[in-house]
Amino acid sequence: MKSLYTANVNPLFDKTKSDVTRWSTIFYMISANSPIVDRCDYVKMPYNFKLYEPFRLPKDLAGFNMTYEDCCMQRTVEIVEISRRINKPITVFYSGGVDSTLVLVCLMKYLSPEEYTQRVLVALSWESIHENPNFYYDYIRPVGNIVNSNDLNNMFDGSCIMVGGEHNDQLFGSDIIGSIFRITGFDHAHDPYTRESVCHWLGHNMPPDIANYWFDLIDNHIKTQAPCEVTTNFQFWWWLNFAFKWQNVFFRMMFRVNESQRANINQAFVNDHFHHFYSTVEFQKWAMLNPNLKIKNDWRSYKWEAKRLIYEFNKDQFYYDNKIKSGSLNRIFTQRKSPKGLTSDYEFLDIIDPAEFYNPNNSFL
Amino acid sequence: MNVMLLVHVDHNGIIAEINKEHHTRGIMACSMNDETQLVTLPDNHSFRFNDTTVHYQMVKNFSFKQLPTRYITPEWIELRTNTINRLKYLGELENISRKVTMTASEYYAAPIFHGLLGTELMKSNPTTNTYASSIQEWAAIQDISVDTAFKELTIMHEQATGTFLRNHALYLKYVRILGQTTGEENMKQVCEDAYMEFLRNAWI
Repeated sequence: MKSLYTANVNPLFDKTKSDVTRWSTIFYMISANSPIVDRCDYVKMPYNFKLYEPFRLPKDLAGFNMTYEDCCMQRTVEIVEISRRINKPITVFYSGGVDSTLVLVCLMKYLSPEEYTQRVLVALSWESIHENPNFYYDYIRPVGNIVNSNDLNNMFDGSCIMVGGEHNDQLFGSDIIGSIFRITGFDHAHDPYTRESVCHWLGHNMPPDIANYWFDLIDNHIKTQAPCEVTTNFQFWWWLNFAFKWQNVFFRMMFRVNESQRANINQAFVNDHFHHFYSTVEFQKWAMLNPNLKIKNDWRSYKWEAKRLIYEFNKDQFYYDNKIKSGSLNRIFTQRKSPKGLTSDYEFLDIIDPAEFYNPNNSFL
Repeated sequence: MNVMLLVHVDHNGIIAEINKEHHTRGIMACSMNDETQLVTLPDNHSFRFNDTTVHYQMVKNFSFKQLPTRYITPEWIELRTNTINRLKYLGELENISRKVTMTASEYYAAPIFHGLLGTELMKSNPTTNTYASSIQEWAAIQDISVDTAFKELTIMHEQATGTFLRNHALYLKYVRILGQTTGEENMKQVCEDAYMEFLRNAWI
């Protein structure tokens, strides 16, 4: 039976099925382009979304003591080694945000200036420059190794190793948290999460009974599956992002590949040519064991450990103090044609037949 | 003041007033038997050209009288109602489209600039280290190598032109669909579909 790695779920909203209707209510809150897949394989979706096995949530945290910086350096070495092995340049998708800036910092620190210039291309847009002008003018522009990130969908030709800054948001928190605290304030972010506090926010997006349903489902997931502390309001929303949205985040750039390059994509291509910097098991373990390094007492301090590493490199105090997360992929995805589904065999589907993927043995019955 | 009117060719009945000149082609694409007239009227004129309870006929010298009742058929009222609604939803479509183009360029003179920039980039060839003198000057002012300047300007140009071209293609697509759509609810749905394709499909 066919299964999906990711999809736009709009065609799957079959209102005649109560389980599908129940499941679909989560998309009141998150985009229909962000299907949820449980990395613990505990919550079964009403459609066959297959867990991409490398993303099964690591639960053995015993003895893990790597720092975030250790994880960054380990990942840098991995990526560079792939580049050296297959003798292809690394194209970093750079938005100017914290995640992709840190990727470049790591590469600049690890590689000699000559090898960096020769091996790394920075795919950016005009917005990337605006988002972090000091870094662009001080570190990227002098090297001049730039290409147009708006050409993302044509870059799956195997000529380079594509490296995105995805999954750092899933390590640190969630963009949902930003939306919540922008409205409610940050005072209760580190308070224990409760049905009332979670449903208060869910209730902005869905009826109370549905909000309670989702609270129960995620609360149960935390209590039965999380191998780490998930107790605060901040951590509740982080867990949703970390455990359920990870898989789609990995595939969403690839999902929008130009039709003429879809045939290039298979597991071997992914292994060598398509990487997100923050995807490793080590980063995930770090995220589960270091809640205190993710945010302090305001939204500006979100990802402060990552920002600290950037600051140590470029001493940009203003960026460290003030940079706030802003989504950048939307701009690149705007008005680009995308399929409706990507199967676990890397088949791109422009039409999805819900019946073909329906899973009657699901958790929403 | 100048007023753009859509006039029926059979009897000079006024179908609607077009408030934005560039909506003219979109509106005219929906009907064969109309033409536009640019009419000069006093600023304080009291004509209600987009009110389907009153019907005007243009007579000589751009003056108006009541449209003879024999022309005020259900079909005529339907034609006027659809046209007036279509104008409203053309405006809605334009607003959706502008959400994308309003941030497509950082420069206030973008339309002129990108036309010129495209020409200058085409005069350049980085493989032979040949660059238009204007690009060399731009690089010198920015204090960067001309090669980097060329890459930066190319990114800027490709991004802006790509955005405008995609947006234009979508705008034309939905103008055409709107032109073939009757009934206010259906037109509203066209705009909702347009919003999905212009913007919402990109949400993650």
